[in-house]
Amino acid sequence: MYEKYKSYLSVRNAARLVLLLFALFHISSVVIHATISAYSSYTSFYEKPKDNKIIQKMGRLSQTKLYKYYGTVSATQSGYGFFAPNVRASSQLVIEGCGKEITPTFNSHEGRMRYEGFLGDLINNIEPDSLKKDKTKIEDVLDRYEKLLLKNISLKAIKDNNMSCAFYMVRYNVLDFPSRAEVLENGKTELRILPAKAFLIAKTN
Amino acid sequence: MFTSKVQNDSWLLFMRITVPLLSALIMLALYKDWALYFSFDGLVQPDIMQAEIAHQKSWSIYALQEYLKNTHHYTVEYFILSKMVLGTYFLFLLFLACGFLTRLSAIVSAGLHLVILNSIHHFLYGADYFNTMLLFYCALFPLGKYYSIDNLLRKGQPGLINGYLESLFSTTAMLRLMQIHLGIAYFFSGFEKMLGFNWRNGESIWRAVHNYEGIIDFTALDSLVNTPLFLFLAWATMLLEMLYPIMANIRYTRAIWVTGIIGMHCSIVLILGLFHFSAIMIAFNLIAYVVPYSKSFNLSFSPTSILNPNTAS
Repeated sequence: MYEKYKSYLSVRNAARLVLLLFALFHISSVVIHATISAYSSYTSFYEKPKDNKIIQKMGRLSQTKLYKYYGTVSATQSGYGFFAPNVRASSQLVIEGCGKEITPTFNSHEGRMRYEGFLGDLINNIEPDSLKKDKTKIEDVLDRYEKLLLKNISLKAIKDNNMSCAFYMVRYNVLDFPSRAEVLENGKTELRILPAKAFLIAKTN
Repeated sequence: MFTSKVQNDSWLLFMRITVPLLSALIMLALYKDWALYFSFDGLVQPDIMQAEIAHQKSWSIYALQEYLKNTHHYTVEYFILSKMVLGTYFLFLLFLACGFLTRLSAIVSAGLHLVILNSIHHFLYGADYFNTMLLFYCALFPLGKYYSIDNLLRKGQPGLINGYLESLFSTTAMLRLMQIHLGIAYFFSGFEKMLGFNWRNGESIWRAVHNYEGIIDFTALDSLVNTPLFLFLAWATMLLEMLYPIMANIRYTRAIWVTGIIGMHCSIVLILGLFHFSAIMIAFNLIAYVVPYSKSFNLSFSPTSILNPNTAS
């Protein structure tokens, strides 16, 4: 019996098996992360509970050290739902002070695009007032962290514009174009500015 | 599926040149705004940026600065350190493109790329993730197999690791791994779009045209608001992506499908202005599905060439 399988038990075949297992692990990492990402986008977009048992198990697996670090190094952890399930609206950060309105300035298309991408990601965090009361501690910390990031960006813009006001109003607006149905019904073709967040920055001595 | 013969290994050479080139171009495009993203006088202070990922112990320029300060008592300004990391990254990308210390260069490039991305992790987009993926594959595959300085130095003999790996797995098997990954990526991209009602009714194309700033102003299409054009474009996008893993692997449909996908990425440049994302994706398609099957890309690996490890005398 042993003689029959002896040829298969070579170091060469063992190495081949290891590489095959690696390939399977690699593909499983791609599929698991892509599935979780698709499910997460779907439930967030339609405001459905994230209670699917299989996805929860996949989520736990993806959080294991092996999958987590491998996913980061190989970028298999990134989802692939670009502009899905919805093409989101664009957004802007406007800083008002001393009767002037400013926005951060950039020297390159790439620099501006990365900044706009970051602002766009914040749209996902806008939620109705009714949900704000039920925030967990972690969500609250993340909310404050997000505000800190916006404050940092605003202060940089203020510094670049040599402004020196007692206080500044920072507004995060969502820019949305009327839908096809609205254009067909009302003929409206103007970009709408929807205020989403606002906070004050006061100068301290 | 997966039956059509891979014509040649030219994709290894093509990948070794295009991936480092595009990786360098993406960073060069940000160079004018480097101080905005990589300094304490930038958009977001590095320590605040690092705060969210500190628990993951990910390597970033800030973590490197802290490490140098705490372990080696060596203080270097953050902005200067970021330029040093960028310079080293460019050097190893150049080594990779030339095929000098190929695998080591690919590993170092991929590592430094991650360090740079971790330093601006709030400002990443699709191009960065696909760039990481391609650099990871560069570190995995024997890219120095043809026309490399490594071959010249080794007088045509394959390296220890490459030689052993090649005896176990063919380059075709490695290509298949990358093809499967690309296929899954496109499938999920199309699938997630199909989950959204705005894609199914064509509204998403309308939104993309109006809410983003591309190269060409497509608002002239407003007069076509009442036509099925937007619906057609949305469904064409979803079907192109979802059926990609099947159609790109069938010999008879591969050319039309890959051309369609490349056309879609060109439209992304025109409508959304995402140059680098589209360039990376087009390169990925060319590496995985065009070059390996194209006779015109079949470079001459002459039996007398010292650069070809398989045929060196």
